[in-house]
Amino acid sequence: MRIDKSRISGLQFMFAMTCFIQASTLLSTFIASVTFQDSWLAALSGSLVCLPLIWLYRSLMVMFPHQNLLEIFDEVYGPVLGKVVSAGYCWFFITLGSINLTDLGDFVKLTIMEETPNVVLLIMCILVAAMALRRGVSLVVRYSDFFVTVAFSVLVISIILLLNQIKLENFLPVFDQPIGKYIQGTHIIAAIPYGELVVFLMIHPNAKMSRRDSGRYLLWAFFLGGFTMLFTVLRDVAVLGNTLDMFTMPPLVTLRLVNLGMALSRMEILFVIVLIILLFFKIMVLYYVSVMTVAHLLKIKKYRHLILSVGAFMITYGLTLYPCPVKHAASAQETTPFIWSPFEILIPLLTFIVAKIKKLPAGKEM
Amino acid sequence: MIANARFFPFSGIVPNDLVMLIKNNSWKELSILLLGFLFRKLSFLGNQYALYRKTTGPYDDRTKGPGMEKELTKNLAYLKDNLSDSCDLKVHPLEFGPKNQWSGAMVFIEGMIDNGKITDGILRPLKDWRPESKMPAAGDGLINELAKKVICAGSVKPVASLGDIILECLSGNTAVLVDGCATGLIIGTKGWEKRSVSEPQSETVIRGPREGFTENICNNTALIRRKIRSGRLHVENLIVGRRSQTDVRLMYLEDVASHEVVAEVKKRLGRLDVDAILESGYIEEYIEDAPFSPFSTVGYSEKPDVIAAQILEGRVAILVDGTPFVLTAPMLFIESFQTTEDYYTRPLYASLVRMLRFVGYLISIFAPALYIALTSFHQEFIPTTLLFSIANAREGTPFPVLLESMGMVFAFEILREAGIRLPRPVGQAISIVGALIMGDAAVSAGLVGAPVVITVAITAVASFLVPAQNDAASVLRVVMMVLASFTGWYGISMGALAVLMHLGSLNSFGVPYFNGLAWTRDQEDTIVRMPLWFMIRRPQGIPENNTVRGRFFIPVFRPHEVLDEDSEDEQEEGPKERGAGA
Repeated sequence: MRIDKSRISGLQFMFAMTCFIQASTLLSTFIASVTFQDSWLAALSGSLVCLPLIWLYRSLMVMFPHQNLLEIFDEVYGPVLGKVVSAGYCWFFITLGSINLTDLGDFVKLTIMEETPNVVLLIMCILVAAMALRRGVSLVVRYSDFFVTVAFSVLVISIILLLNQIKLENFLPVFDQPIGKYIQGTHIIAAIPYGELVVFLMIHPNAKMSRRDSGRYLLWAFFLGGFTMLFTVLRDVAVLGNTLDMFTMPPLVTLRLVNLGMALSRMEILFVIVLIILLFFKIMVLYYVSVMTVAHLLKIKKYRHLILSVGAFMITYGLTLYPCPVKHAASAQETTPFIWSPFEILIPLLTFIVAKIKKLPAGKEM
Repeated sequence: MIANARFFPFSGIVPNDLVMLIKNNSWKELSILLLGFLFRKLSFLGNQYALYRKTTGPYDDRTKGPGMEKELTKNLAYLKDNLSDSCDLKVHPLEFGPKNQWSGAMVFIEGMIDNGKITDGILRPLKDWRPESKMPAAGDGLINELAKKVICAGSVKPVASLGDIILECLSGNTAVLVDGCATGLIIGTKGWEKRSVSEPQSETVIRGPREGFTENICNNTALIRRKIRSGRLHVENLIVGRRSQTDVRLMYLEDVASHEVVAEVKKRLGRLDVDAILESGYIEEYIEDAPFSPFSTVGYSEKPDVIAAQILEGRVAILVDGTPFVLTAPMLFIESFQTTEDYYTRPLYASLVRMLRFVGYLISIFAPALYIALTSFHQEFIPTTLLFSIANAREGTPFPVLLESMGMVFAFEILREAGIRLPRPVGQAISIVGALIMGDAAVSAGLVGAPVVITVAITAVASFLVPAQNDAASVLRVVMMVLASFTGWYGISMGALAVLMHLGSLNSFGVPYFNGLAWTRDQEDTIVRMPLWFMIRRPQGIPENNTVRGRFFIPVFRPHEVLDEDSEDEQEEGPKERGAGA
């Protein structure tokens, strides 16, 4: 039973994943206050640690090319237990969506609109995303290549403009933190930008790609996204050094430092644009996945009726999740990676093992 | 009390009466009152339904009349009766044959026929006609004889139905009826005053053909045929409009255009059931995909070379009689940014102008919104010196910035509309006076600030760069201004994303509207215009077959150098050949 029948191409699927990783990386500055000037090491090790995870998602996609995550659960765990796991994922996706929504609201409030009530900003975002959702996944990921291009070009432009501010001694001292901090940073990077790729297990049946392609596209998305993250962190560290953790938004401050004569200054507007676009994209994908999950759980074929109600729920949930942005950032550092880990790593791994033992997809293919 | 209720037939029941009746326990009167109310409502609904039933079967000129009678007088009486006895209906009695033994009549409508054709093609041959052998008897034989041997005209056809005769007369043909024959002849004598081919007012070019379509559909098809002399260019005639009976023609390349699109266009045109088609805008509104979208999903042009190019890319052209504007479907968003001159000038400059058009379009939507956002929320993004001068200008003005810019945009739209509708000399005067008053007097009187005037002026000028998307831009401009006025930069971003999402969701006859702007091969003709020899394929998604339009071919870049090499190699032959050619 496929609820959304619109199809996307493999390339769009890849760009969507890239865009998704980029959206998390630009905001994932919370590792800065964990590992300071060694954040780039954490980013690197986090990416490397995630390679097996990418392989796991790829194997699930290859094993079940025509079923999304919830259908996989139904098949692997049976209808009852499968539904229980699915309900857990429903909570996970909606929470993830709400958190990102709050992120967007907080960010906009922090940088440009100090006095506007958060709820207005969130409602606007959800309404625009709902417009796209009505047309299905094809419209949701349609502009991902464009967004990725914008993000990349802003990254490259900012690095070029900041060349005169970069001081290599800012990277020193290296390996100055206790080893636990590095593990924490690595865990955050693994759980937040990369682990969240699990949502694409809900979308992959709609993508037109062969078995070989799915792995290739996942890996490419991983590289492109990881490249963006690494270079964002490297740029910020090179410019700001260990003062990195003083700011709530290091990239914003970095770009504010651009000063080439009178003409090129105040470039943080570029970061604001990119972040609004990318976060909007991420919210849209999460919103879409949440709606699909709810539709699957409630067995509703016409998911369009659900869009606005799920959106309203996400807004209210997001507004009540954290009392203030500081608590939000703290939880992103300390608790969130541990809550996400089962959904991103343990359950997919378990599903993979159980499916292998039961030899599930093989029997189906014959 | 019931009588009282009857005085208010529209308000139904007077509430006070109801209360009184219930209080008095007079159930009988109450039930009569309520039943009366119910009855009135039902009869109203019944009347509405009857009206609806009536409107579903309106008058249709296409209905076939009765067959012809043998007596001429009866036929003539029917024709007169069914052409409402109009004074421009001319019935010319005829008597012909060697001994003037046949009597007949020629029926036509004044002003729609060519007098020369009637005199030379019908009257004179009939007068001079002397049958060679025996006289044919009255009836089909005589009519065939007339059609084949006597009448000199391009199109002659026998008809037996009076309804057909009326239709043909109304489109400018002449009917010849003969007493004693149950068939008549229709002779093609169309001819009326028409505008000659001239340069279109709406699309002027510096370089390129200057001819434009006219109001005559036959002329327009010929103009396109002259551009594409291909046997595969298919022309199809449809008649739309119950009363107007307008000719609508579809033109497309049979082996290029997508069959789905053609079928869809035909289906939508077939579904159309209206009184009259006065302009192609009527057709556009009935067949377009998204009637409530600010973006138009059907293209139009007044120039044959534009339409020929569209047909060559695999689109369907829809010509409508009585208007020089020809529609094309499917339409892509990018079409509005491509002008014919892009392909007539050299690619580098054409690409530059193309980019300029994109920038201009963005300015025409976002400039006032950005001004509002910057001045009311994000002053820190304005360079300090500019900020001072803006603050200086804003200090003396009484209104909030949104109202100020709204007022100026509104005033500009008024001026534009006034300039278009008025006769040309007056229009210019109006716009000069308006511009002076708006630009100078309003600022010096302290009503608006100078920065607002500048912003609105650049917006106005930029909006003329892409005339095809002007209506969408005007709507979006106001929306963006409102969004910017309460959520600043964020509002503009969300508005832009919403427009993107809306554009992505649009389809034009099954083809995604925003197709040309994705990262595909179509980029060769989107933001830049690649050289013609590079673009060997038609745009994606529109043509079904024959997507390649030519063989890839790199022109010789430095011909003189190649020539030198050649002449060195073939020292003896080269000059001789050239001499022979000269």
